[in-house]
Amino acid sequence: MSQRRDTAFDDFVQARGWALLRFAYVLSGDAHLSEDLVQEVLARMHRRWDKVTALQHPEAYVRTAIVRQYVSWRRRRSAGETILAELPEPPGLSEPQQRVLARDQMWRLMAGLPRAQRAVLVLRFYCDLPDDDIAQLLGCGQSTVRSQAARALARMRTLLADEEVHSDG
Amino acid sequence: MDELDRLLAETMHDAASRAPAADRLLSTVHHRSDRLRRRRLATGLAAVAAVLAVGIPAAGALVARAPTDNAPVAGSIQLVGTYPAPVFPYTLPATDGLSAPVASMRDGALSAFFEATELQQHSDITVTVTSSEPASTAAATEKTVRVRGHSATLRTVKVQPAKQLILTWQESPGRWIRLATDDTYSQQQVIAFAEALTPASVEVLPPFQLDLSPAGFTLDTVTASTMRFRTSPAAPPITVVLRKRYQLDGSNRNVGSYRALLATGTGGTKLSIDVTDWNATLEVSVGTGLALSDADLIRFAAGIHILNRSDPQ
Repeated sequence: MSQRRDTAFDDFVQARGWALLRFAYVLSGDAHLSEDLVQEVLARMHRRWDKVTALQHPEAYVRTAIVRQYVSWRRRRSAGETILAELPEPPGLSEPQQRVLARDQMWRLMAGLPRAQRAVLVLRFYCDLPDDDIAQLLGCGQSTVRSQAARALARMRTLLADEEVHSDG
Repeated sequence: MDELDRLLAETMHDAASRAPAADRLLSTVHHRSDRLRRRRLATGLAAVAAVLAVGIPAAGALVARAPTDNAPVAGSIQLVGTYPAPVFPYTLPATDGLSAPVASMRDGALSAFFEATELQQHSDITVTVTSSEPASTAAATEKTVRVRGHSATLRTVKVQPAKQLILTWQESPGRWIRLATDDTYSQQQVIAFAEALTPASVEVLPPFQLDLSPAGFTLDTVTASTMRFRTSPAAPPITVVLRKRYQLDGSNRNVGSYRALLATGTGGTKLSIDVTDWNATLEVSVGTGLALSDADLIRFAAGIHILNRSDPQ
């Protein structure tokens, strides 16, 4: 292992490690799984870091590996991967408080999405990637990205409507 | 962007702030990278002896001694003490910059992995031996070359971070060899590696030591987490897989001191054992149609010793 590669690798992990963990956490919704994903991908790239840094966008390559690892890994049992019991919305909240509750509700609903659909939403809304970049990253066609996103958003809308009906009732 | 889109973006950015801290990330990644490297470098017959010596002691095995009060059912699969150990039949000359081979086996295909220890001039090389022509699905440019007196196909697959070079030829009737590496080497160097292969017996090191094995079965898969036995390529298998620990849906058996769940479904019978001190779940599956009694399945499982070189899926 060359000293130069080790230093470059260490510098990258020090500088971008938390950004990668944030990305993996949004992607997986699970703190332990996000750590596992980032550690696994970086450990496998460690020895090849010279070749990775020779790429135009090394960090994009690492993020691609994290997404593919996430989509392909065997599902694990995790409270973060199931839709939790509904939280009734307390009456009389201010708008900022309602916004916080809405975000909590969205986060719980995201947990119910299949992994590929969740990955598409994260790449679109967290990473702000256009559909052609998402397609390239996931190794699928743009039409697949659009259909996955449409299905995910439709499911979110349905679940939101269901929750509103239940809390109204 | 509609209200749902905006709320999703807001939710994700808000959630990101709750991500785990990166304080120990670098040291953990180094530790994990070293572990991967050690696993690749574990090799040779000397390693077999060493691993058996450092493998878990008898008290740490699933049971210290396989129970003897469950006599085999007449006509069923017999459990015996030994099984034919697979060996990889070639090696490369010892070279500075490449480690000794580590052999494995998947679906009957034997592979040897030569890890590069110097990465400026060398790259990892994997040599695979199969009984039929290996399938190639990735888009590639192809070139016909001459190797060891045979016509061979050299394929270049454009992937990042390095192009893959894959050389395939039929060594003899019923034996195909595939040598895969990357463009750290020139095409001439790849052909030279193929020419340099010599007969050898590189043992495929299993992740478990087995006190018992099914008579008449041979191993067709041996990886860091899996051993799979079959009588023929299409026959139902007996499989032992070590997985990262997961919660069992209850338990109805004990294997040694461990809780276990025995379940039968459309795919056959599966015994899942909660191996708490390895933080793992050991699954022993018997394919549909195989006549192994539940008592024998438990007897077989009780004789499985997890070795340090194993790595759960």
